[in-house]
Amino acid sequence: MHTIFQKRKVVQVVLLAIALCLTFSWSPKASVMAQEDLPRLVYIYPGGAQEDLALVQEAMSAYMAERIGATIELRPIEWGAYNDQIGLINASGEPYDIAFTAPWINNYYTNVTEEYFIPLDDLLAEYAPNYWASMTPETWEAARVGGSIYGAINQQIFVKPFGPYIRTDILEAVGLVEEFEALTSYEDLAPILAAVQEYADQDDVLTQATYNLAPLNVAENWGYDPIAVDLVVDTTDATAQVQIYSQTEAYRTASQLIRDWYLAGYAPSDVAVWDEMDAAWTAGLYAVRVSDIVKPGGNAEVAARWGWEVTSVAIAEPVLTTAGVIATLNGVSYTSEHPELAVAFLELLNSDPVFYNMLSKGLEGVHWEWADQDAKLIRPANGAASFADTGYNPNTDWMFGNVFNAYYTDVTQVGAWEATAELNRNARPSPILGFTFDGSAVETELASVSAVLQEFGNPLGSGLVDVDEGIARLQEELQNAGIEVVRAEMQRQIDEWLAAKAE
Amino acid sequence: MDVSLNKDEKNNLAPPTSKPRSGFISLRGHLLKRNITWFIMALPALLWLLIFKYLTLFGSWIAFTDYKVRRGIFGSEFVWLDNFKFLFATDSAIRATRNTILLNLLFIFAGTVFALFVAWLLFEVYTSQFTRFYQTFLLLPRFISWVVVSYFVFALLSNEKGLVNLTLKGLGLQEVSWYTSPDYWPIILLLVSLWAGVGISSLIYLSGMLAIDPQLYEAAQIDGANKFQQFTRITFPMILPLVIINLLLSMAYIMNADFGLFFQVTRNQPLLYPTTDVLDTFIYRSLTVTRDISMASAAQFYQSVVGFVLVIFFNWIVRRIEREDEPLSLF
Amino acid sequence: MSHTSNLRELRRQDTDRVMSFLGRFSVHIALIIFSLCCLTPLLLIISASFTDEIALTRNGYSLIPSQFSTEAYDLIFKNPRAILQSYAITIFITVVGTTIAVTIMSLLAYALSRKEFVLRKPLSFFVFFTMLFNGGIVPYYILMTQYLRVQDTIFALLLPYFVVVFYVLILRTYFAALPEELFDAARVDGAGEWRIFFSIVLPLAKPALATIGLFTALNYWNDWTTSLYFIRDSNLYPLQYLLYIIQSNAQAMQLQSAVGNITVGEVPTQTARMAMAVLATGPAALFFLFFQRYLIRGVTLGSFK
Repeated sequence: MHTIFQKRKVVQVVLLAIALCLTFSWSPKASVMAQEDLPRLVYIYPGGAQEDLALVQEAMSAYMAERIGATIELRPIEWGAYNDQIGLINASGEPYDIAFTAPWINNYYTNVTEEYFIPLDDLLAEYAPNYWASMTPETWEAARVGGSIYGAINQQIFVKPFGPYIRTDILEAVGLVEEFEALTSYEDLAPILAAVQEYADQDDVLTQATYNLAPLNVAENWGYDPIAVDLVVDTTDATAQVQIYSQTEAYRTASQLIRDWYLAGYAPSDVAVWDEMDAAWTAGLYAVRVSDIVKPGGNAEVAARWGWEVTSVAIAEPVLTTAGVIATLNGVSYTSEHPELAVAFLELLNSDPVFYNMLSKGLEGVHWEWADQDAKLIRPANGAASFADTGYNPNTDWMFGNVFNAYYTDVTQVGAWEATAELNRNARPSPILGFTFDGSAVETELASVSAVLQEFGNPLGSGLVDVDEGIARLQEELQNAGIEVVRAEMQRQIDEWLAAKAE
Repeated sequence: MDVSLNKDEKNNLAPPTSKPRSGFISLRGHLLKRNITWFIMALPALLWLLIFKYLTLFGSWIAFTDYKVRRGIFGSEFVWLDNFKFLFATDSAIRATRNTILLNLLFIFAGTVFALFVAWLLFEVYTSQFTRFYQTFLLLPRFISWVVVSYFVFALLSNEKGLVNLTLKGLGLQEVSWYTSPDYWPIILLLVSLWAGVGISSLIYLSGMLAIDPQLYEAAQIDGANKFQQFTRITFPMILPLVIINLLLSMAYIMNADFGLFFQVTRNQPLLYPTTDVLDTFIYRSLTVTRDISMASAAQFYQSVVGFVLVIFFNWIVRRIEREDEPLSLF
Repeated sequence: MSHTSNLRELRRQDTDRVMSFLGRFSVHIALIIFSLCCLTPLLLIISASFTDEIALTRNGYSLIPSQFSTEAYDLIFKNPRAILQSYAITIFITVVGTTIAVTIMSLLAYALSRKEFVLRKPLSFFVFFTMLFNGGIVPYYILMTQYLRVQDTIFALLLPYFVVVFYVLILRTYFAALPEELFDAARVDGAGEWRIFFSIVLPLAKPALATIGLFTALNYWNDWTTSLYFIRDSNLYPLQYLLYIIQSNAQAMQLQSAVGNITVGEVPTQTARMAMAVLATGPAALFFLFFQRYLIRGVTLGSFK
């Protein structure tokens, strides 16, 4: 009797389990009804769940259906899962149409060398004429790998004019406003840091002048164009000789500054991880970001993001590099059944402000409304306190297309796009703008070198080791890891590329 | 102290190998039927293994090819052992293998001893009301992700505000810059891994101890055996099969390190690599640029092969020394 | 003579009692110390989750919040649906998954523990082999998404832990130690293998089953990698994945600052992460306290008599 009872219990549990499984797996998915018969494009990009995603998707589909005869399925993947999921989608051949790609997430070069993306040259010219014409041939050149364009470039800030940011209140407190604004080199930042540190020593909240010194020795800060791993080209060198960046005088100077400042106690002596440092910056423990991208509207972004009014000054000369131009791209998958429609979709995103802002800002009257239509300034709809409260706020304009078409959300931003375009236009092009390194022949060496760089390069970037010893050790390890093999291969490709360009 | 008593007890418990079968002929006739039943019992799990493990096994081929999804796994170019080169190309790579093996041996050895010790402590006071609380508390670390663990390890070891350095300072001792001193880290990581794992690993042994016939202990007590003798002569021999199987299975994973422990808890600090860089972190670091599937697959294959060889070897040893009536080996 | 020896015997018993008390006392002390080592970090996390964000960053961790605040929980429960749904998912997969897994694993382990089973050795190897070699993530992904088509369903979360070879081998060792005479006696009474398994083996193996059950439950409860690969629908996020995503989103977002884009969403605060850790751990710990009863009940059945 006992067993019978138990058996019945087991059966009940199993039945319940099955029932629950079915409910979970058959939950209805939101679908667009009207354009059922049209091809449906799948767009995958990083982003958190948005309450009103289905609403936006429906509106976009309706808009697209009329113009290009296709509908869209938006498939955002959590930031923290994007690399893993898109990597598996690609490697397993799961079909989709368009995906966000970049050198820093969903690696563009991997996508090209692994043949996940299709060449877009002809498709862009035919199905995206406005978009194609909106950028110069040199700009498009940057997205070429092995002669073909595999990623559609988003128009945004292409140059990286690095410079220091400082909290305005502290800067005023130490009385060095003019000195800061007149900065032309990082060496001159030292006395300001010293003054801020002195101030910090007296202050209860402020603990250190600055925190993350590492950006100081990025190659762009010193006029070099980084190609891959530690290999760079001097942007003033027309013959484009590949150099090992950590062998250059600039790298030594930067590392020495970092070391000096670290020893002077301007930065915390501990290794911290980025998100903690970020929290600490928000909490007001630090006053200076020694090196960050100084761009039009940047101060307002920092203020909005971390709650501190800041002053910034660009020190590095803006140079147009391949990496800068292709910082954000959208690629078309080889599994796409309608590549021409995918490109037509990109055309809409990049040349039609209405469509583009649907995706990046949501729907007028639902998520935003005009604050000043002439200035293209919007505000949260229906009296919502912020865009985050409206139900749709991906806040990643630069991911979807031409940011110069984005509506401004803050009055201090107005005019930033024109200024950015100006900055891009006036930047000096790198001699290897448009060159892309194909590392498939030297994969073992690339793996070894990148491991070495993290082990022996990162401590130099945080000031933890003596500069001379650290650099000597780094060089030795880089040689052992086979960096010369990579350099030779890279130089060969550059020479070929230059020769082809000269013809 | 009569040790033979234990042996006698055991022999009584051990299966009388052939006698009953000769006594009950009908039982032998049912042997085929029983075999079939056993196979049916095993079937669901075997099917799962077939689908989830064996069907996907062909993917190991990727390790030997320049995998391109558009050409398929078997259509991709065969490149012999090219994908394995980065695992041996540099001193750091060799060091990663060495660290993995040495640290794992340390963790396995210390972990087993500590788990046995804690299991024994729990066993001694098992009827106490407090024990369920001890066990629950010991299991708590299991729920805390390594990222969160890294936060409070940092709270303990950071330079200025760290509790350890504050204590050292208070005692008038020299403070230590923990995150730049690799020598301390095998011990720190060992302590963290013991802390995180003991709740779980002691459970296996505890459940083994709970299954031991209490009469054995009663008999031993009458003979005047003290607690320590009871442990060495009854408890330990009785759970030895569990210890051995645990050690054997640990060998299988000797080349695999807990990525979270070594990456998060050390905060991926390069100055600590000499003692903390293990294969999993090294592979991760090497492939951040290329994210090459074939090389990742090769690394995994390498880890598996070494584990496999070790298990086969130790299993062979166990088979040589095990008793006929008490098999300890895996297969 | 006999009187003195009696006295001596009594004294010896006294000493024994005192020694035994001291022994038990020191065992308790040791266990209390270990428990505190495990408990303190959790208390730090709980305290941190109730601390004001800025105060936490400035003052560091402490057992008592330096500045009390429930902001982190307010933030999480601003949209309680997400977290409640995650709870439901996690509890469901833990209960159902563990039930199925323990059943099929113990069946397999039982078969493999029978010395008369002719396929014992080859099947043991068949089982064990899978522990070492696996095809890696790509074929697994292809299997799950293109053949089984379980991505974005609850099945994707249930399937991966049905058989853990390690546990099967532990169970096998345990079953193999059960006295053979019990089985023979049952067979004489005419019991079939199924009945022997359900009415003799399983009750006797309660401590082992409870242990393996607990391990499996922990696997399901703590699993976030499966979701990382197969779950995109936020309605199906288990608790630990929700926690993972909160943490890893913050890390992934730092990448953008490298290209000068810094205005993405709100990065979850440290305290919110701590609060999530508390929410993901607390109920499981309570559940375990309750579950403990089964382990203790096992003791009374403890011996193989």
